[in-house]
Amino acid sequence: MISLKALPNQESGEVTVLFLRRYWLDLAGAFFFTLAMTLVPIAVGGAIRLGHLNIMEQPFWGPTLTLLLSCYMLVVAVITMAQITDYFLDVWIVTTERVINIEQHGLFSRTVSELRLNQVQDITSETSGFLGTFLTYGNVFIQTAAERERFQFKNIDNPDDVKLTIAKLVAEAKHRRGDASVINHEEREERVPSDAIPSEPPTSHLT
Amino acid sequence: MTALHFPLWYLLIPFAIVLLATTIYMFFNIYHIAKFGMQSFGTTVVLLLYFGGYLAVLAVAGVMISNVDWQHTVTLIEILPFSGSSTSTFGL
Repeated sequence: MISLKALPNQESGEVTVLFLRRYWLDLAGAFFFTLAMTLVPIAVGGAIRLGHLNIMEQPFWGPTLTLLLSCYMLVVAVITMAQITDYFLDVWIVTTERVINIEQHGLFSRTVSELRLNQVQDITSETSGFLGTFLTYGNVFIQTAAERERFQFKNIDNPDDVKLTIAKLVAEAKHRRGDASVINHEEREERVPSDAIPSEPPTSHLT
Repeated sequence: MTALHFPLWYLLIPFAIVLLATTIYMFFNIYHIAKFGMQSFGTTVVLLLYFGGYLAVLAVAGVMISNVDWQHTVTLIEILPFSGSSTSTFGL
């Protein structure tokens, strides 16, 4: 298990400031799915009863439907568990030194990445849609100068507040450790492949 | 010509496979939460919910299944729905 008091590679004096999960509405969606799926066999059973079909009394179909219902309940239970696990293991941790992004993709894929706060170049918060605006949840994007995918905090509560808090921590980190968010010219040239730079100006071949 | 017949417990074989698969999947979920989850009270609650929820579903399924006489033998003609046979296999 991961402890907020003892993060991997934690530096002395590094303190966890934010611990974020997706908004509770995502978890409510999993429970709503379970509820809806539970209602399906009840509705089917009601329809069978209303239609006066004594299918449960049939020597073959009664036991078969019992087993199918049992399988259905087990499958709905494990799908619900998988959704809760996916919600529960997607976390974003912001400390005084870095941002840690932990994302679970299904049961067999997991991404853990981190970036130092003094590398952050741009922070964007985004709230969209009726529910997002009304319930104040949305996304926060953190961009560094490096050629890597930007961090995304998906569907978190109060993205604007989170953005302000991270911006403050970034400013403090840059003050302490220096600004590492700017790539100097030599580094930028090293990143560009040599064959991408034309050696001589293009010439026209008009005849 | 004798009608093809088979005992009902044959139906329990595919059910056992589904049961095994869902149980393994449930343990994968528990393993992930226990290994990669945060050290908190919430994690303990989720683990208890997983065990409790799965055991509850198993208990309901067990009660339903135990009401059936699995030694009963059915013939192919009985598989056709509404074939006229009204012999109940439920020991109610």
